[in-house]
Amino acid sequence: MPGKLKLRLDRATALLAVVLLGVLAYMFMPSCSMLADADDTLCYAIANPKDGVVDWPDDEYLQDPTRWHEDSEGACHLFDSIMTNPWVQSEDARLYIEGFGLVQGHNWGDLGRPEPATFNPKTEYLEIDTPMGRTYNGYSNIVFANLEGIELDRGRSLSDFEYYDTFLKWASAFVSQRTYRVNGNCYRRCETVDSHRCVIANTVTGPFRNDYIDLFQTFFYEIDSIWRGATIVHEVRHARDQVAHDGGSGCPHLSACDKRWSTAGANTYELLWLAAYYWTPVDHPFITPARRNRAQALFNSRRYEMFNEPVRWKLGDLAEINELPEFYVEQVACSEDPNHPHYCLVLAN
Amino acid sequence: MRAYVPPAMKRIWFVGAGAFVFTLVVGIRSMGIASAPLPTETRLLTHHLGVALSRLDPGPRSGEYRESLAYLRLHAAEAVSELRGPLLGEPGSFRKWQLTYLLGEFGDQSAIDLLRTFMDEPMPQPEPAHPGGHEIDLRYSEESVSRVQAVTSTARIASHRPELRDQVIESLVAAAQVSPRLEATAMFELGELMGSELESLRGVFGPEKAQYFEPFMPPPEWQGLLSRRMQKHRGEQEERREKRKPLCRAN
Repeated sequence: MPGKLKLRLDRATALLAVVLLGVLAYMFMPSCSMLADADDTLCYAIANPKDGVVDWPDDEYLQDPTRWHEDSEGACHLFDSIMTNPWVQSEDARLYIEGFGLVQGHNWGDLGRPEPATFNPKTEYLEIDTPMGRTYNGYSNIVFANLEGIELDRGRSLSDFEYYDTFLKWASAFVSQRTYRVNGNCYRRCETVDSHRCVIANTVTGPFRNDYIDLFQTFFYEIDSIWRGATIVHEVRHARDQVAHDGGSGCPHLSACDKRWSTAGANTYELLWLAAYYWTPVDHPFITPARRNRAQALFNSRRYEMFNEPVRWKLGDLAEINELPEFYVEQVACSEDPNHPHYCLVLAN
Repeated sequence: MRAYVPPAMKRIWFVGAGAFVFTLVVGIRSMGIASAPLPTETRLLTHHLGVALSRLDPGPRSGEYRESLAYLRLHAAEAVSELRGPLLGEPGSFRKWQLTYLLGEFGDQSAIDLLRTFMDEPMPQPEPAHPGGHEIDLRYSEESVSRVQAVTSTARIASHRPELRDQVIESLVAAAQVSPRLEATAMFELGELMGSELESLRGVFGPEKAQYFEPFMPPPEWQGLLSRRMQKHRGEQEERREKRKPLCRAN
């Protein structure tokens, strides 16, 4: 009997030890969400709707202002409010934006085209949380940064600077004319599941109407709408113009870098657009001080880290970009030296 | 010699131990939730920081933003201390840019000091990448954007606290001298802040920074067109403002 008892007690002790070990492991586990990250993708959300409704992988619960400190990773939705994006109220604006190549694009049906904004019962707000809506917001920065908005005729010759008399107008027409198809994708194209080194968008070039731009999860949910706008301008430079990156080692972003400013590649275009966005009137109805500051910070940071050779042109040098776009497009973009601007044929075509 | 323990007692011991462990675990896991309520001042500060951050886009066009900003300017030192941890401790993110921007909106002397500390911190290394890939290190990018924003936010402090102008200038000069990444932004902000007085700093920076003291202008042959366009755009803007006026009154 004592032997039996000892055996039973040992079993109980062993069981308790196992339970305690499990409990300890649970206590020191930082968060269950870490284990769920692999499923925190757009593809997973689309494939697994809850009661027929897709739970978009945005950070909607952070709409509660008292929980700002919990959002150490994101808050990229700041410029995605329905109040500040005119396409929400205007079917014409939506159609105009679709005309940038989205209408020919693939996969948007699954990515929120039928309902680009959704009602969140928790916050009781209508939110732009779908990939389609977030993409419209990126284009909104291109369209509404210029004061003509959707009244702008995007079909004129790109050398008609009497009509496109600000860089922002010219850029809107450039984006419209130099790309054909813009696709949505549910993939998060990063090095690994937890990695923050990701592809935002990718362009397959083509001289005719066979170019296309692929937008990925990072574009919709991990960058803000101004960066999205700049990314679109960047990608379009790759598309019909077929200008690829020529940078590489010796630059923090490696193959996403251009060798120098004057090659007038995608990074130069992106920066010209950011500078033009910054140099808009202070009482601009669409560009708020926060948006202007964001564009300035993006310009100054990317100017430093997206080129192999130091860039001579600075934000202050581009102050008249919305007065004399032809000078900046044709000459400034192709010269490293402000004292010797030279004519840039590739941009005039 | 061992005492006989009835099976029922053994079960009670086992259940008791389990209950103890369960209570311990639940207690530890919910410590954050069950902690003592925050004092009213702290709760107000957190609330106004949250409102200001979430209304950053409409900014001064939003009444809520203006109200929270007024509170934060009155309690600047406490608010700066609240943001110190995230600013210096967290990796780069859009949220970090937001916090850096907001510091410029309400900051005081302690904000200038904090932003300077942040600018002086060594930049983290970008995540290693495989050659040929077009991936961007988002954390690294956002960290860089926040550092650059720290310069602009420092300059912004001088606009709502003019008594700190000298400290702001000192901090911007230091940023321009120490960090190649921040140089262009710091010189731009010095120019905006000082206007023609910037010339007084020429000696501080030496001839290699001369480009910052000679504003770039389109060559003379473009000046005629430039002035015509400026006139045209001014007229258009005026027209738009006139059109908006009745709408603003209606709102």
